[in-house]
Amino acid sequence: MRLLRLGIAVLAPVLGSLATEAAAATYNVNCNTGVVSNAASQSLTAGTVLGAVLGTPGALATVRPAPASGDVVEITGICAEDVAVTVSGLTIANDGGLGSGFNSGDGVKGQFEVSGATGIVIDGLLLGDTAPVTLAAADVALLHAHDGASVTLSNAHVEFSPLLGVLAERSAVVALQNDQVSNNGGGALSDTLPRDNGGIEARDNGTVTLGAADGSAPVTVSNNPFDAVAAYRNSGIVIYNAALSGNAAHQITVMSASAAFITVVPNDGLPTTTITAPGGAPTAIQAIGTSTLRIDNGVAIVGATGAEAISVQGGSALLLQGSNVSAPGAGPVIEASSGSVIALAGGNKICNGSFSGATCNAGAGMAIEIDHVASLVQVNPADFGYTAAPESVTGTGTAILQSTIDLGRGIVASSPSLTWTMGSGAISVAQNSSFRLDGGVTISGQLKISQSSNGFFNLSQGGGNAVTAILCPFTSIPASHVAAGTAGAPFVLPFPNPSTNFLATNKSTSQCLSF
Amino acid sequence: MRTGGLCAVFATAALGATQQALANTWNVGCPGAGATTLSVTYVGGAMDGTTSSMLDFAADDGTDAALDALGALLGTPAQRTASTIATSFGVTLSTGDTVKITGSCQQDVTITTPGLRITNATGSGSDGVQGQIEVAGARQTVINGLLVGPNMNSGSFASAADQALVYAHDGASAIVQNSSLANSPRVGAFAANASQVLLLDTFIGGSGASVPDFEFGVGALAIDGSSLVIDSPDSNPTTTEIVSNHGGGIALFNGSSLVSTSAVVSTEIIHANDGRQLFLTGGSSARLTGTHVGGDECDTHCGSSIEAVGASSLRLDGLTSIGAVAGQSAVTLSGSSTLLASGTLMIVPAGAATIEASYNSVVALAGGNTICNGSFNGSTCIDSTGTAFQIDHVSTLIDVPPEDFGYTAGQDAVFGGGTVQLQSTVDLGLGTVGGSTPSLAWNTGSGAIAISQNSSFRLDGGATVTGKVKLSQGSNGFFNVANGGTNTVTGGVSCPFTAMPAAHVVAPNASALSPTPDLAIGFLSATANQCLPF
Repeated sequence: MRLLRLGIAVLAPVLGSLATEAAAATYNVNCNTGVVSNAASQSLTAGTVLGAVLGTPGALATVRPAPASGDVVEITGICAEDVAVTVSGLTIANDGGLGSGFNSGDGVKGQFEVSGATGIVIDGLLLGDTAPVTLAAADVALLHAHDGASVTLSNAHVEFSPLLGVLAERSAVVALQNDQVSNNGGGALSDTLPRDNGGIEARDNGTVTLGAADGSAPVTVSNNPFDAVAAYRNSGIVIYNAALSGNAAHQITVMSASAAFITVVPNDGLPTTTITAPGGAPTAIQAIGTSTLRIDNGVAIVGATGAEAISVQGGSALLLQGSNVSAPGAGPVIEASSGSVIALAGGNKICNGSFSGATCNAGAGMAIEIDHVASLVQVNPADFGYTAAPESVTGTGTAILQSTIDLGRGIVASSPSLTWTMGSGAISVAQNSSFRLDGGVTISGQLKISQSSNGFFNLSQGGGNAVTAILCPFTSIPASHVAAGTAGAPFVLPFPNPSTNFLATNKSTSQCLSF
Repeated sequence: MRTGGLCAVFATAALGATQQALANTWNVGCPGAGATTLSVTYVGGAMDGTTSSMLDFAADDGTDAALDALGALLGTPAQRTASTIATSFGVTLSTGDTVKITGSCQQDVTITTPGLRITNATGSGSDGVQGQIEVAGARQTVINGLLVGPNMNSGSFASAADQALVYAHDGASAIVQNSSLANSPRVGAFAANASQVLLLDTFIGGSGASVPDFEFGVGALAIDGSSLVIDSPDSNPTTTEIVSNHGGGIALFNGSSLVSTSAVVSTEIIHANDGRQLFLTGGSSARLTGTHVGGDECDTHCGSSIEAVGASSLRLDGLTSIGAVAGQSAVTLSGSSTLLASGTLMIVPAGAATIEASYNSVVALAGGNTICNGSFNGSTCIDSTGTAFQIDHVSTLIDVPPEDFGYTAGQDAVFGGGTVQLQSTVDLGLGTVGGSTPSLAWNTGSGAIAISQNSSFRLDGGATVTGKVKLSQGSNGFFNVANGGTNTVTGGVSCPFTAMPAAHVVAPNASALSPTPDLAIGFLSATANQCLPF
């Protein structure tokens, strides 16, 4: 009995110590002085103190005890060093603590690497600097999460990286909330590849999210001299609430079997997702190489003058719903090329020109171009969980090189499902292409079908089809046909009155051939 | 707590707490005959620098019936914890620890502890594992300088459930460097379920002897959102090489990705594998930079050197070179897949197209490519009697501006004929490069570019075709100089038909097409080979 009591007495401090170790600890790291304060204070070297606490590339933390999952590391000052976190569940915040908001005086001026660690929270810090930063040769980003890492970056600024601001690589996930990502890329003159420079990037099954899923915590991505947000090789971009503007290259690039979901989540009047390309910038949003874009629920996208607002290329697809997309100049506002698809799911306003509130101030350029075996279709909104709503296109259209346009979802809320207005221009369908209306479409302008292209009109979706004029211009030999019902039972008004005599086809009136 | 000296159990716990964060080194001995051994060299704490006494474990007998020292340390498929270790050594295996192997351990092991470094002890090249190294959800595992293979006596795995010599799954990540993965009965290196495997300066050969299929018999495999990286940063002991695997070189399934770069451009990297050297499907993607894909060294069941199907995406650049055996293509795309190529060299003998795109697929040339159907004499493609491109079933061949993808402009050189059919499209010509060089020089050799079955052919300026272009069966040609330069088709553009003309050409001027084609005056007066105007 006495031995038992002695044993318990001796072991009690041990068990107490174990219990203490299990509780979350807070490490105060002062990068100005090199002092680390936890249970006791340690004086280390100012330039390497954060790496001693968190770890550095290729080396674990050296302070003892080292931070464990659940611990908090609070930083005072700017730590000019590379750090590498491999311990999951750490929170790294400024000296005001988690949730205290952004503090420009606390941060990391170097690469903040998260290697395979999950549940990492970085809050309220400046990653980078307010002036151009020089990184070590092996560094790739100010925040580099890789190999299954997951990081929440909140209330932070990521600025002036010579390469990338944020990179999520190889199944890593970075969730950005209430952050500002600016002026990243272009500082390493030996590497000016778009994929190695810019604001935020996911590659090789990586994922980045901007904003919180409830629509709060908007993220600003601005003034990056390269792409603002990019995804390469089976990676994903999710934008719940963000403002992308002033980035000199693409605002969003999605490549090589990657995907982007860009939406608006209503949240008590908070700003909603806006994507605005500055003057001189290329296509605002592009998807290339079997990639997909889904944009819905009120996203506002503005392309630069003469550049596309959205372009899908190389077997890529765009599903667009309830959003306002505009670009002034020659256009097109939206382009699909080389085996790509644009699917309109209702409620969109596509405007060559600019919006004034909800009204399109029409320009004289093109709204939509479909080329190289691409397609423009209207799809059933219900198939994607959307409520049907009429949509409008303002500006001319082009379908060339074996491309297809298929429009019309009948009558929606007493209106045609699609109203396409183009002033004095036309929708030009050429080079072995097809154009079909299925009912519920009103086109105010000319439809010109030529060069072995054909037009097809039916009322299978209900409602009617109206086109100001359908023409099939040719120089020598007619080669375009239309199927539009009969004069007595037309499927489009006015009836185009196609020729039934090949040799007698009227060139001067650009008469189409019947089938 | 940190001084130890209490009763054994709690002393162990206390010491463990101290040592766990300090990256101990575990010494595993697998002598081949007799007991296997384990000791630990402590780092930090009161025992810093000392090595424990050696503990014996079961001998390697080629089965997993009893744990050898490595299995006891790391865990096995059946026993995923190393519970016996702590009581013997006072510490447990922890993140940051190094495991040094002497000899070859015949044991399947399962790693669940993240951040381990498994390495050789002697540098002899024979230290390693005979069995599967499974990395189950653990991140940042490093396998360095090991020879990993099946049981040398049977040439098979100990368990029918074994998948690969290195098998990372369920969010795991593993770096395999300076190692050799040889003669796996199934896969060499396998990343599954959102896992990553980096192959650095590592050899993988002879995989798939027992399962020589295109999924579970390849050198390296990634499935279900996983990633592979192959690189040769140190070329020590060699560059990364995927060679002589029975089911194929590398396969990517279901949203997986591959990045391949080479420190030594165009050294042998993926070659001489049976079947295909690289296969992508299910929305997977691959980027090869400076990588040599030697499908021309394939011996058995040879397919296209690279095949991408099912909405997969392929990007080739930086002097990547690809060969194939006679009758097979360098690259085949199918089912809405895409190829973006810049600065590549692709060569196959006659018998199959050098590049084939089918079923809504897209080939995008971004400058600096040499596409050869024939053979090389020095840097010149000769004997181009076959087909360079076959584009069919609503597919597309297109030139894209190199600068859009960060490349420098350069001429694309094509040697061999072309076939474009079944509603497919070709659109070529980016103007001139360097002021006067056409962006495209296509020498059809003894063949032609044949466009048929409702297809389209367009040149936009800066395209020179040395040979003939033939349009037929409702196909049409369009010629302009929108991108600058001129277009030339030395053998002329014609529209052959048997009974009724049905192919058109937009009447071009001499800049848009030289020589200007002989167009029919009218439909009824069209003569053989005359194209119709619009």
